[in-house]
Amino acid sequence: MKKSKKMTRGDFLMLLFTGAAAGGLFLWTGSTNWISRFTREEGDPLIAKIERGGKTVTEIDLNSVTEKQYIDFDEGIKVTIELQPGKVRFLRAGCPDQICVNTGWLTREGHIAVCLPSRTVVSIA
Amino acid sequence: MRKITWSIVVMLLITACSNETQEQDYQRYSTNFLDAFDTVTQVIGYARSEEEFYEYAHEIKERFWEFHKLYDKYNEYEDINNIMTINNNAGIQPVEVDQEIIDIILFSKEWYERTHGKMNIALGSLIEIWDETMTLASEKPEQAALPLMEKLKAASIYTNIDDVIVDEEAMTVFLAEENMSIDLGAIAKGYAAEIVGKEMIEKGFTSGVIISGGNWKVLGPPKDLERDHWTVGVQNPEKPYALNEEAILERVKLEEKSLDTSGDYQRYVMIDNLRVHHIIHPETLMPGNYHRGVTVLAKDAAVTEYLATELFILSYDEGRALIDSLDEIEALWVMEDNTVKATEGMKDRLQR
Repeated sequence: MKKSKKMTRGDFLMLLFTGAAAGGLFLWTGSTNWISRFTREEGDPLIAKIERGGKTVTEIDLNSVTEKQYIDFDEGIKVTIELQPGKVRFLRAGCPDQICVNTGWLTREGHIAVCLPSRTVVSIA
Repeated sequence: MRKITWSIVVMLLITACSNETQEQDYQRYSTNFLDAFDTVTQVIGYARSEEEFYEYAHEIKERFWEFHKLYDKYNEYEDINNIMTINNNAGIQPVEVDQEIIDIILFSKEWYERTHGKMNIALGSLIEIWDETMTLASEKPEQAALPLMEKLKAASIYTNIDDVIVDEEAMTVFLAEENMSIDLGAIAKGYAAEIVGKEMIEKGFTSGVIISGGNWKVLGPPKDLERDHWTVGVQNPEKPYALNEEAILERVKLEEKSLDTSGDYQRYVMIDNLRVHHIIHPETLMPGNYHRGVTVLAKDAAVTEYLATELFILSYDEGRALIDSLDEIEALWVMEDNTVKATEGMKDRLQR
């Protein structure tokens, strides 16, 4: 769990998930100051949390990632998570809908991508 | 005179300082949980400590699961009668249920009367056919086929909401027709979010949001020095899952209230060039296709979720007239060509 720092936060963009009614939206906490959204300080940690089956598997500071890394889940529905400097995504998943893969890169606080069939969640806290 | 001016200035300063101190005491936290209403629920909020935040989040999770069990039509649970119990006893006998079930049914009946009655919790038999169609199409695409119209017509006979008989005294629900069933899929999350959200506000969680499968219950504005509102982005249907800036069609400012979207672009399958999804038009018996998505803003999360479905299966003109006739409810439509229409009150909240 990242404790957010008051003055150095970027914006929080997060994906809304569909319900039975298949809606789609996003949200981030709003700021009256548009500029402050983009003034995330260099080196400020950007913590990605990877959860599977309701348990936290790992937490990684994306700003400390220097080269491509992969996290593979081989049991049940196979999933591969890719980490690069400052970003993370579902690279591959054995689920039928591929919603998680199509979510693309997570780059900001509040971003979340979910693979419901495999119960895998990637989020930037 | 001068004295008075000074005292006003001092008061303002004190107010400003105390606000700042208060907000500095708060930190932002977020978490998520799966399973309730078969979706992911995010809780984001500001609290004085991690412990405080997780106490709220844990309780939200527990309460959501309680509502899930009551409103579930696919599973029964020990020691409770739920929607599945009611459906299994259709045409047989009234089922004794908890107040939460009585209330959501009465709520749905009330709004059925107040609207054009397109959204209908008694469409279970029809939705079941389309559910099977979608499941088959996604699991065995080579066998994908639209359901036969005779089959849909036969099922549609048993969708009269007046045959959902509620006895408030005896606390029972009875489905008068054997072949009918209740489906709360288009209302359950929002209804639960409204009740649980209110409970959390009473407990002191007044700066946060509960986001459950497209339904947003805002508990109160962010306690943050830099921001005084939340902003919800309406997704571009052409980029249905992506997180990047191009995937956001509009941005809606929110301090409180609730927001919900119904759309055809996230959970769907293509069969015979037709976009098949869960929102079924009760007269054509086919998936609604007036617009790509409708977003509704209202105070009550149950109302937003109910109306998002109702508006999705009304033409823009009918839906617009309905919203204009209701107080303090706003809406935004994403049309077939991706253009956006919105009520005046919604336009005021869009960030341009």
